Amino acid sequence: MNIVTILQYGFIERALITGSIIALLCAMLGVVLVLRRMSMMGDGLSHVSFGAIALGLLLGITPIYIAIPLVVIVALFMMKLSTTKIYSDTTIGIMSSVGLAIGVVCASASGGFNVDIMSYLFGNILAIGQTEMMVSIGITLIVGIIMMLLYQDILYICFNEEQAKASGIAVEKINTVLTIVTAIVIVMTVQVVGIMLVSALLLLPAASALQIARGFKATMVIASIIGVISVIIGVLLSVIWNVPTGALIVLVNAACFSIALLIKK
Amino acid sequence: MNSISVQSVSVTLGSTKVIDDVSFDVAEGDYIGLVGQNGAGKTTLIKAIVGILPCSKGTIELFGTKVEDFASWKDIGYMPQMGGSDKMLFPATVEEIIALGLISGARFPKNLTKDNRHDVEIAMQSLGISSLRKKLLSELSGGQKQRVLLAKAMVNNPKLLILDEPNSAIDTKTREQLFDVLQTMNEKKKTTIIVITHDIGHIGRYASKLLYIDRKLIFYGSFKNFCESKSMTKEFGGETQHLMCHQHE
Repeated sequence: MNIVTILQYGFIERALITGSIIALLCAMLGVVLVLRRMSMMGDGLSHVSFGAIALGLLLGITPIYIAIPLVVIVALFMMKLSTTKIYSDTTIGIMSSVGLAIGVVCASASGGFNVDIMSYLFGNILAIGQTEMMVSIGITLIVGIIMMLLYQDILYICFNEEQAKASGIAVEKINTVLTIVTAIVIVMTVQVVGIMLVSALLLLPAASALQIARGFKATMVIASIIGVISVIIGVLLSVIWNVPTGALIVLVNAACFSIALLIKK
Repeated sequence: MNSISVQSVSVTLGSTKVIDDVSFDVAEGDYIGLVGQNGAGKTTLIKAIVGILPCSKGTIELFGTKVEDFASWKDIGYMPQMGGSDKMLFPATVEEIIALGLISGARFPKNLTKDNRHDVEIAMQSLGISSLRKKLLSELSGGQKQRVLLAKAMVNNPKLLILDEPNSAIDTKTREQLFDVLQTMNEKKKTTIIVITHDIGHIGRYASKLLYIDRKLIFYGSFKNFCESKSMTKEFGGETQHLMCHQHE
């Protein structure tokens, strides 16, 4: 099967479009998370997503509709806990385990790990429908505009939160917005690469860009390019080689990271 | 008008009262050395002044406005202790970091205007770091980082400049250059300056007043008065006080 033939399939087109825009968002958000030492947040929230998705499947509700509000609430709760009582990595660890446990209980109650659950665990980008694609594009536009609107403040907060606060930036409000955006992006990303591989799509492009970029804007741009290219190559190769797409996207990202490390040396 | 007015301020962190009922005023154009032992509450007091930490009691005013309502943050330059220098991987260039103070609060990614570039250039020139403009923070030495952070704090040409231990991680020559720049700002632009330091003898050469705290306000006055103060002799012991007052002569 050659690339021209592959591109003629509607499901491939949807996979490439949805995957690319989600990768773009993940890459930009990933840079912010890595610089703020919140890398594990993606991992934790993806596990919470698992619980929410399994609950949605058990209740017969479209998982994304129950996952987005639930994961946003948990993310805000985690933020509140880590600014007051508990270290953020401890909070993430606790929520991650609880989310996973809820997922396992719900999956068991709905008859075990069926095809639906497995597709959310490891991703099934090729199964993305027209509605999911349009929802993804809509959310991407909203999140993208918010990120661009707050770009200067986010840059300042990434550099030094206290200095940003002392410059009159509403750090708490922006942190809340970033937490909500992260939760939404993670739920969307689960559809592309699956719960197990979300943090890779979130962190690998950012980690690669940080090795080679000079300047914050350049880091965002390079991370976005790496993220999008990884999705495109991953999707096409997975169809040609007939291997799981999510895993291949992560492996292409990992190859980009290795190359970036070599370039830095 | 006072640059800062601190009235009966207490700051509590967790269950510990770190600042206890402190009151003082800083007039415009004052050059204050904020001194005290480790854990005396110097950084906490400054964080309360710039609105990072809330007061559990009392009020703080900046240029006549309560800190909670203060909006002219571009008039304040603040360099925290080790501010940002731990961000070894932070990908911004020196130019980008210095410009942060100029375009904070702007919406959407902004390119620097001609005026912004001029301000960044002046700040870099005054600290001798123009050649570093395209370098990343991770490529700089401790002293260079300190100068970049100072340039960032002063790029807005602030009316009040607050520096938390600016002379840590820099050599003696760089330290003297840095304090010369501060002195020029204070004398020529009438910038109010507060420097947190442990080196009482050194700051005494530059500051118009010393503010010595140990959770409470212990001393507030000129270096000369500090050296002659009987209560300070009691606090430090005569020999130590003499050493602090005369080591840099």
